[in-house]
Amino acid sequence: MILIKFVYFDYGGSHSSVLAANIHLGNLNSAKTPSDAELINLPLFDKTVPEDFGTMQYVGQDENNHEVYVFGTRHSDFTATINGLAALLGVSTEYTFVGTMPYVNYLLRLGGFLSRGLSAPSLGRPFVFRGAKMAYPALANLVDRVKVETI
Amino acid sequence: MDYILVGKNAVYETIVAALVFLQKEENLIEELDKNPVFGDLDRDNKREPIFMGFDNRGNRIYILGTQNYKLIEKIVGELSRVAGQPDIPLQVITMEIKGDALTYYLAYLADLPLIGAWFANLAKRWVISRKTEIMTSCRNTINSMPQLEDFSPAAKPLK
Repeated sequence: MILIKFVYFDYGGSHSSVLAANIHLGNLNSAKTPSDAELINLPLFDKTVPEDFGTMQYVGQDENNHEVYVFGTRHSDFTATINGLAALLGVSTEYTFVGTMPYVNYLLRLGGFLSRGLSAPSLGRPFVFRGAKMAYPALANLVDRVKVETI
Repeated sequence: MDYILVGKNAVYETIVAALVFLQKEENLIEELDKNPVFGDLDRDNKREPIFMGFDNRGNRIYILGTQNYKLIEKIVGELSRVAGQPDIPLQVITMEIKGDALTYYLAYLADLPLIGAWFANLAKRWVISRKTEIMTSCRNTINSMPQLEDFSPAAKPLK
């Protein structure tokens, strides 16, 4: 079997991409919206710092031994660029890139800005939790689709 | 080794830098006029690397315009590292050119209906009016990167 690296990416690599990666790995139940405690206990959820932008963060290996990463690209529409860069490097077949920005709602944006952008997690996290729960079903569907189409 | 020049706008300042790399700076205005990529915002908005040609050693030269252009070198390094490549086969050259923020906003306004074309034209004229400055900036970038010494252009009078 060819092993693929799944890369879930968004602007900050902190919320929607982390949720999707953990759904992919089975760390979160795709059928049940997680609690605040489950969310904040995820290693990368709402914890990234500016230095993490552009660093591919390993999250784990799925049931078929495919590696799963999250990536904060500091761009809201990076799909064409990341695929183009991978092609120039000759590594396109190694990766499946999955953008999660279309699933980021206004609460996640606001919460993420307050918590990560302004370093005020006590202000931002209530919005982040609410926004993450709102986005969760769509992210779970995305991951299901990616797995069916790719594996 | 292939090269990708990255900046805020691929089809404005970065294309000028690419022409310097391709040693086509002597007739820069003519080169820009005949190059369909110059000012092509549809192409820029695709956010994909744009192939510009081969240098005199057969290396491919690409350009890319993106908001997060300062992060591209790191992103390319990460894609290569995680894929297990021993060496990165793509050299990223980050172009920081004074005045590119104004070009970016003019290009943004070029999407407006009816008056958009006027802003697109203005962006082109803004770039052409700064060609000497852009070329100098490009040469400074070349000189600041030891791995690019093959590209160091001989001092030539500007037309």
